[in-house]
Amino acid sequence: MDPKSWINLEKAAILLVEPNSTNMQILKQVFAGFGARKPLACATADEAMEIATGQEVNLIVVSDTLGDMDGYEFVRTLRRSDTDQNVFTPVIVVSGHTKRRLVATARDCGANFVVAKPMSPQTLLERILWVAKECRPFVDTGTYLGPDRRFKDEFTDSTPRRRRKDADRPAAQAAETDQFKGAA
Amino acid sequence: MTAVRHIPYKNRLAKLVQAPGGKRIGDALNDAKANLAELTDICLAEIDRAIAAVQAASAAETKTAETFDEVYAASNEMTGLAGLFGREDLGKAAHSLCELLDRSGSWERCPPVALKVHVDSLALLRHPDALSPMELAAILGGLEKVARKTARAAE
Repeated sequence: MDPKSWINLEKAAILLVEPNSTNMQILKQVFAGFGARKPLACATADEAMEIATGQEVNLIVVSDTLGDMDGYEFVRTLRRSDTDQNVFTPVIVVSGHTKRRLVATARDCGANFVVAKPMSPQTLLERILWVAKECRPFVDTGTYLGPDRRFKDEFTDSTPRRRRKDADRPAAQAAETDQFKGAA
Repeated sequence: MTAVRHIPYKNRLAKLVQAPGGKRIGDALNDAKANLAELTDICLAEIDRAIAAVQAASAAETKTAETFDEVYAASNEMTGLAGLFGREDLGKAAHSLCELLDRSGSWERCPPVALKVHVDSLALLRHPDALSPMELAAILGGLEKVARKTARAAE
């Protein structure tokens, strides 16, 4: 991330779903630092679905453990729900230790990212920028509905890209191109 | 065979994030870290409560499925909190305890020595400044050894 580039979360409707009050305070403080104004906050999947049904949300950050269902099930329910306005909303699931039996569930739930704790502000901001730039289409296979899970490494770097100058090219690539030019 | 549908959609967040105004990324990170620092005392107290809960449940004579789940939950909480407040090694130990409990599935199948090594390590790693580099290395080395052994036994 380039520290000099800008991010604007002032008008983004952000929904935080976290049952643990300390963890919720952490999320709120971090988002306040990022410049988000009054994110929506709730503790259960039911409350979160109610909010998602009633208004447009631009980003959801949800804990993997919720009281009424786990965070993965919440994402799956959201993706298959009738809430047209939020079916494709970017979702970041924040998980602590993932139990072995839940690894496949986490992969298949339809979240844009599953991020392991401890989640530093740096990691969270990188993921937010990533989902904000992402151009992966959604895929519906019948059993999976979410962002295409296949993506190239080039998308994981959230720093805005510029065309490289010739001088920045790796030597091997430059030699190869020059060789091609010579052959032509 | 199920047909795969590709669904194009509009990324609304992209437009908002790029709108004029907001903050420089460097400032946003600094502000978030400063806000987080305000929670240090609350979070360290939370970690102390979690360690006490783990110690009490693992030392209790009566062990139930509920207390097993409580210990897992307390360790999981430490996994998330410790690293944010300069206790990275404690976070790793807590994660290792979660792994041990997850592999074991119950008190009966949880190796008592491995459990004790983890519980003792949590208490020691809570105050890393009180440990010499050699003591710290010995604790982490012991944990790693126990974790490797229990993982091998479970496979």
